[in-house]
Amino acid sequence: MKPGALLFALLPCACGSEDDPAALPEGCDHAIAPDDDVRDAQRVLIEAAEGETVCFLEGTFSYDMELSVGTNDLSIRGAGMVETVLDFVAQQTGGTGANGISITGDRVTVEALSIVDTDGDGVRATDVTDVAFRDLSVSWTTPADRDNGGYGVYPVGCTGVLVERCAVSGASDTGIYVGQSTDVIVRDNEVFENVVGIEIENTRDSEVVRNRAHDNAGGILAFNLPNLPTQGGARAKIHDNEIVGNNGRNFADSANIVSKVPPGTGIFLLATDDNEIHGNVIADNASIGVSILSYDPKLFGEFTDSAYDSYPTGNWVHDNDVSNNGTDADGLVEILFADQEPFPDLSWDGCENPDLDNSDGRYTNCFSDNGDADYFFMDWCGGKAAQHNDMTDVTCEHDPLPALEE
Amino acid sequence: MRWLALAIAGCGSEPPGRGTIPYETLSEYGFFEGRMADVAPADGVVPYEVAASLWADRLDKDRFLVLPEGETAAFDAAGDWTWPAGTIVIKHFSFEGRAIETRLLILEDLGWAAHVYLWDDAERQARRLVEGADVTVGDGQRYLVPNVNQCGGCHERDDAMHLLGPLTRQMNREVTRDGDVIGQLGWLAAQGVLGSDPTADGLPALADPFGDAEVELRARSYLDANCSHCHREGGGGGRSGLTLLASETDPVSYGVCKPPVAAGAGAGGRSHDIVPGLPDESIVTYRMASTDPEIKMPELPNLLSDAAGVALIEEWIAGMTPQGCP
Repeated sequence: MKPGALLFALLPCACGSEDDPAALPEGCDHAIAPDDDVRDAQRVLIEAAEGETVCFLEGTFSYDMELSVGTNDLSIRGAGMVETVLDFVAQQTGGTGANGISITGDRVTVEALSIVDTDGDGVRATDVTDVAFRDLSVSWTTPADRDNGGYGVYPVGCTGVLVERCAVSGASDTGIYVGQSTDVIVRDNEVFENVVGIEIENTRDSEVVRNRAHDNAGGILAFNLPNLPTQGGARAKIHDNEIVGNNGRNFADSANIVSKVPPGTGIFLLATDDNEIHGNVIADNASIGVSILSYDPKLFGEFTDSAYDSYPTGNWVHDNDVSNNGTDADGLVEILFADQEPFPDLSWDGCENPDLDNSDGRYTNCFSDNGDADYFFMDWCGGKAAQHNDMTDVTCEHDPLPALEE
Repeated sequence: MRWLALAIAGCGSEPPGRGTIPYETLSEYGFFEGRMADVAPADGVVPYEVAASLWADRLDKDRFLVLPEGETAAFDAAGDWTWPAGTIVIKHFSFEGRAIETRLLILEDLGWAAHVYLWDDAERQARRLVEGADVTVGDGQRYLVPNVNQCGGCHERDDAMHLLGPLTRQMNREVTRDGDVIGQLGWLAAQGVLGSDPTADGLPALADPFGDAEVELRARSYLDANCSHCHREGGGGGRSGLTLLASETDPVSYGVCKPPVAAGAGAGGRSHDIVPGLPDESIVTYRMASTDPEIKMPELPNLLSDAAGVALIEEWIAGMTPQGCP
């Protein structure tokens, strides 16, 4: 947030003085009622002081413009994701902001409310420190509609992100997306009927734990993409999630990278390093259980980013409960696995950076103790001459990543 | 400008709007002489003009600087100028001659603070408001006055508020003063805004997007003025990797054959920000022409697309040698 905005926080709250103390739920410094005008709600959010809590009362709030939060240390709270519903279906005019709640203040928390039918993203935080999203529902009424907003929960460029106990469905890109951030925890969420359930993109040090991803086109992704200011996506600890039956339609706009995600994908690692995928239930995803790919410009688009590392290295997929994936593959998987049927649970494209010295095995993508899951070495970069299903070369271990959650 | 001994502080228990900045009404500042809506600058209020203006839904803008008496700004060719505490930058918006809103950026100890004043129907007074407004101008055109958070949507970068107009590349142009066409930088020095005249060959300068410079310079100037406050490193759109500063020299960084990353529906099925020779296949023009909130660019706060701006960018892209984007 801009330092100058501190002045607003210091101004006497003649601003919020219309708040009736009797109407304030416990722990709330300001209350916004369903029949308050959206601009009154925005004014309360602007004039609330650092450290205060702004509460949305029970009811349905019909809003036709984005709410923005620029103040540091603000808590925004509803009465519960069923009780408090912010409905943005009327938000159809450009210039009013496309998102539900847009955050540029540090240490902001949004919790216990629903956001419905935003034109853009449900909640968005840009370049902030320690943002938390808790007990939120973000959804779109029309299923699998390309015109739905792109992202349910969208922190980008943040240091310190917590997304917990949220439910997101209907996003035309990704339900819970974390981009270009560090120190991220995504836990205990349910994501379904989005193009992608959860994506960790160009982000370092994250933990994705105990989430349920189902009925998306792709369950959980960790991507590292070129031509973005923050590079070096690595170290996602993706564990103890349920990634089941992600066989939804991919209804993303064709220009978006997630439009390449084959329907029926469980976990997809793209050009990202040193991730640990363990203890997950990965079942009934019709294209592939776990896929580790390099960024092939022919498949994903050309890039000119000299700092970009297109090879996934040092990933470790272990102790997952993997079953019944690859029964009816779609999209890219069909291209890559042309003659494999049924398609395997686990796969690596086999592309390796010739400039790396991997004599100690640190860059190997390892697979271990995944029950009787089958495996496919695509030999994508080697011209497919040596495709095989032998796991010997990739049966190895790396050091486990530390858990980030307390 | 005696009143500029600014006692900048919270109101404490004082009633708001008496004796402290920001004032509740615009008239308290005493910026203008005569009928206030005519915005005739009082002594010490210095008008300035930019080379390339930000599209503002057909509204006209007048711009002024007010520096504390006896103080000057320190010039910087490429970066922000350094302004003395208490400097006020004024942008006044009118439609067909009627005063609509006036925005101030005031440099306080902690940085620039934004304030918005909405004029009454009689054009006698403008009152401060923080929550923005949805008003009608002229013959029924809807117009959005931004809330003060939205000011940061353009002015905030790297956690600090920045000026967007009083920059060398925008100020380095000719202006007409007392009937003479003269360099604005020298004129600002003569007015005491700058300590000395920095005019020199090679200083950055944007072109008038609708003037007679060659099309690439006009197009890059337009994108700089309308987009680069976000689309640059540290800006709100910097995360996209698309950099629309006129000084950017890498074609991919300013969009040529650059695929979108998180455009959502904003891509409109098009594959690259700029496809040389093919404006109808370029995302940049698609988003500029849209008024759908999820698609349109800039995101805030315009309701109308700038048809002349879209035409300019289309002309520029159409004139590029088709190369195909891989």
